[in-house]
Amino acid sequence: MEENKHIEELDAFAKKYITDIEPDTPSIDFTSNLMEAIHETENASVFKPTPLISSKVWIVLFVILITSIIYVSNGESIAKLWQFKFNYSLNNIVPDFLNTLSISNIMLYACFFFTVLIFVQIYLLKARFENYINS
Amino acid sequence: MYVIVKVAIINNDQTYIEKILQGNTNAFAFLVEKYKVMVFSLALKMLKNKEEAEEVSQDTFIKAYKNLSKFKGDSKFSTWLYKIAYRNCLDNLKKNKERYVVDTIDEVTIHKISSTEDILESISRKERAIVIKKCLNDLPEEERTLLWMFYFDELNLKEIMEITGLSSSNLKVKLHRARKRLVSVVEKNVEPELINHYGRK
Repeated sequence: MEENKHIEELDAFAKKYITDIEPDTPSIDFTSNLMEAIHETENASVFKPTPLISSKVWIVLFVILITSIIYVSNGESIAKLWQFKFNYSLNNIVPDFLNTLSISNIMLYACFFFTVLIFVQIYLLKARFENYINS
Repeated sequence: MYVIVKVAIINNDQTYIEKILQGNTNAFAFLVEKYKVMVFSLALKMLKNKEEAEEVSQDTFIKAYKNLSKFKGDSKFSTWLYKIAYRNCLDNLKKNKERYVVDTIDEVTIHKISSTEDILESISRKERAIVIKKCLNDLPEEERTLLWMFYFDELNLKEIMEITGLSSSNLKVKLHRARKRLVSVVEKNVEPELINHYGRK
């Protein structure tokens, strides 16, 4: 009973005096500045950026690059590529290439950690950009 | 009568929201005009900095505009907007890593409430509002915000729960603690204020 009266007194006190406070008002040009910002974002969203090099072009470039590397590593001149003499299979090239490959342990560890760090960096950069875009 | 007026206000908001969604960007200015004081006051109560409060208020309206299509009308538009403003302010506080030292609350008896009231009644309404505003700013951010939402903006417990994500029991406890602390802070502040003002005792 006493506790309820106490709660009621506190409630009445807060209600009585907090409602006396004048609300704070933002600057006079708040609405106009805001609408200007909104119009700017509207105009920005109309332009949707497209990449200069499309994914299809990237695939074609990647295939050309890999084909050239394979062809040149087989001791052939790149000029001969245009003669269309693809008379070997990938199975014959890869084991030969691996057999002749010699690499030091230090280089191997360096490559391994470099790869790991690239993947860590991709994750961190992605999180950072997502955070930046969403904020 | 009150219900009719309330429904008319909600429908009014909905009319403008539909206009905006149909591509009339300028219709948003009506909602900004209507709710800017509410959003700014909350931001200022939480952040205690006019520039930051204005920036956060602006950001709140921009976010609301961008996500207007996600507003399904399950709650009032004002509650939805308030929720965005509240989250924005919390993010801002986190960014600035602001920490408040929370004092313990002295025993608040009924006698103490009435004596504090007596002192407050002896000064003018305008001065009283200044004193209460100052005391409110001395409260921890969460308590200050809850009191502001409940008493000034007259949000009900359900709406505050939706905005803050607090449970009903937790909210009631926090509100009770906030009221007690307010009386305690007012009592501590009001007498020196009066002495300074009137130069007596």
